[in-house]
Amino acid sequence: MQQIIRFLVEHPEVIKKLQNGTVSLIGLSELEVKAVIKAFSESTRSLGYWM
Amino acid sequence: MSEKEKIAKQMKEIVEQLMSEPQLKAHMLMAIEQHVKESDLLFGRLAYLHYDLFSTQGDHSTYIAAAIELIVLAGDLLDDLVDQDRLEDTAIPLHIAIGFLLLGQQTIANVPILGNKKLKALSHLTSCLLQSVQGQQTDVACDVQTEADYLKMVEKKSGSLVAMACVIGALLAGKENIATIETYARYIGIAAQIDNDFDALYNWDKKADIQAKKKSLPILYMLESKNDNLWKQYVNNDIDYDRMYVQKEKALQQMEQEGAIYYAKVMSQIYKEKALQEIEKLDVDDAYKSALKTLV
Repeated sequence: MQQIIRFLVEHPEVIKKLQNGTVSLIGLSELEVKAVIKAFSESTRSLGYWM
Repeated sequence: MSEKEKIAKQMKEIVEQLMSEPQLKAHMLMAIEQHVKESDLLFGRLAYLHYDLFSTQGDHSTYIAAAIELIVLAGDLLDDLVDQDRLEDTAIPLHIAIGFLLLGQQTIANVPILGNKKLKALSHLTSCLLQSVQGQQTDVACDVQTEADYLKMVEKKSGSLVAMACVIGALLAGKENIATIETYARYIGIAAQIDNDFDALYNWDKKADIQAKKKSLPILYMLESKNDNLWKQYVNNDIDYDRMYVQKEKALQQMEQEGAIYYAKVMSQIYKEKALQEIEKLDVDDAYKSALKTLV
């Protein structure tokens, strides 16, 4: 997953294409792609904390 | 009265009823007050929901939720003692923590339901607590070197505590097959701990994680970077904590630029999605599934 995130940070245009469903990331499951799209759609400090 | 208020009230009543030593009792009541201010009592609410979900007789949800929350509070206090986050004197907090731990177990033993359900619940409780303490030790010893190590550690440390809350509620209600519950509970715990460790990155003064060089996911990510960065220098002892502290903004900026923050967010989201997927497998009303999903 680290390598995929590094790739996406260097190629932010791929995120948009992932969101549109025009590209896919080899090696990632549907669930993981969903998580990537959701995480990159939020601002970098918007996680909720509860512990 | 909200669910949280009911659980908090019940926690205090249990202390009032079962503790007799005045000083310890007063400190325990104060600790509950503080805990209620700082927490949304999620563990108790999960136990409440799971008992309510599978129970066919008797309304013991609040009592069970209070027991779980007392045990979780004990864990929080012990964690603070180990981390020395905010404690100067250790004798009283130690007695308070042990008191809460035993009080929670005693409370479950006192629930007026069939003995075999309680036996199963107490056995599961002990098993989860044993896993959690081992996870805590791995964390404190800074034995984490890889993503796999980290995930294994947080599953033990936090996943087992969420599993404890959910499964005990279900077992006391008479639910026999707890496999799905155990699975999503552990996923919820892992996601929550990733978020909690992420929070520590932005709270150096409140949490001792950075000073203790705990390797959370974003830090592991920075250590694997091909570029030199402050995190590598700090973890490799090239700079000390004071020097790292004065450059904390820069250190966080490096994390954001390299994608370490996204990495933590993605990993947390993966476990949340996994939990949601498992919750869907439960053979219960959609209303319950929705209530459960709001806690993920």
